Amino acid sequence: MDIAIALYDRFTALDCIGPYEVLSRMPGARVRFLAKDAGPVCTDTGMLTVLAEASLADVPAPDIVLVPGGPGDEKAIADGAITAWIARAHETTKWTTSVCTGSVILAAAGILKGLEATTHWASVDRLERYGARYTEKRVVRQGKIMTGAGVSAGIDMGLTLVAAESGEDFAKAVQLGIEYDPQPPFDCGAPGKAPPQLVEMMRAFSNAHRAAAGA
Amino acid sequence: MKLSILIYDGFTSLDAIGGYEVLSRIPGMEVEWVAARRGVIAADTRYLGVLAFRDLGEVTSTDILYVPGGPGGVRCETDEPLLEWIRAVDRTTTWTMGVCNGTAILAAAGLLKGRKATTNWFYQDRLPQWGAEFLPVRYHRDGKYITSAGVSASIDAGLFLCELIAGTQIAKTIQLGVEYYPDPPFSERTPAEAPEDAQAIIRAFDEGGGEALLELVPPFSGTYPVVGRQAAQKSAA
Repeated sequence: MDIAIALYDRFTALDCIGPYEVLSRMPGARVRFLAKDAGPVCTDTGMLTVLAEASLADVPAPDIVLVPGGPGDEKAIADGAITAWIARAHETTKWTTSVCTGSVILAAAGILKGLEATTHWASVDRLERYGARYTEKRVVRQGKIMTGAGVSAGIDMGLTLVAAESGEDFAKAVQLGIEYDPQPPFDCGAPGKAPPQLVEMMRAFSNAHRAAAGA
Repeated sequence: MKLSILIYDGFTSLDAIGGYEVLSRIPGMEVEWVAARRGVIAADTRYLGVLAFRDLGEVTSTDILYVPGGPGGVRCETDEPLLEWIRAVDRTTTWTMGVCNGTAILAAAGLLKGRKATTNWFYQDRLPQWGAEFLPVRYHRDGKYITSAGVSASIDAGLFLCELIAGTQIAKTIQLGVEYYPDPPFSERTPAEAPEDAQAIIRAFDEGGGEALLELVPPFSGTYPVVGRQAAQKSAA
């Protein structure tokens, strides 16, 4: 089970590290972090660098594709390498997945036209601009395509995929293995649960961050 | 404010990234990744390489010392130079945080003697050997020491620490930013609630599967020499 995680400059680490931590436990799983060019890739904070073991071109036909989101998404879309890779890989994947605004990249690759998908709550308009239909759910499945909402939703998405692929009992063991018994100190994880001024503050910050990443 | 995250061969990346992803978003937070030597550190699965751009010698003080867990953490518990570094840096911190069996590393350094702490499910019986009392909670504060349960608990503990550092408004905004309204697919949340075969799988991993992982060669180690890998510890049969 070849799992390919497509990285790009200014991706959000937790988007893909959460699901990777889960998917990597599947029997026979072989995970590869990839980027347009093999080598170091910097995350959105500018303070974490991880390795892309190989280039996208080295892995044209993985079994599972995972695309994280991040402020660097529009720049990656404009560059074209990642969307071309997705479009081609998607023809033969068992699963094509994304977390957060990774779904915007999937949509830009043309594979979500007319399909339901989720994304980070602050990027709904960008997702729909590329032809997908936003569904306000944490994890959305459309055939072999699975999309997760923002950042931390990658863990939920990963567990859902493991259940579909390796069965519920195995997925339960993985959920336990990462001790996923969440107890957030507050309940402010979605716009509907947050005071409007926090939502606007976060939205403004997100836009500024994306603009800066594109510079 | 500076967050220094210690990483080592065979650490569990979500232990570190969960807390990092929320703490790094506190305005003005600087993050540095610290290891015994600068270079690529291989996580426990061997698939992920993380760049440590500071070595122990360069980090003599910080505001937050963060120690993740993972199968490689067992070796840290008896790594005297590392434990000495932890003690020395801890003397300068405002907060010292341990995630999963990272708590055991702090305990082995002597920092949790007489303190209460939490850790991953299978380490609870081990904490008392270093004088710490285990609490079966998701995260805990004892003075300046923040400890969390295993792996994904790093996010909850990280948000808890965000609030202590930057106040409730900022912490809630960060929670919103990472869209953290978790929804685990399965209702069996703890080993006690889990079916027997699920328990068997995780116990088998905990009791030896971790060491087997550490034997694997990280695929990128041909191009990027990996820091601190001790796969050759066991002699060939």
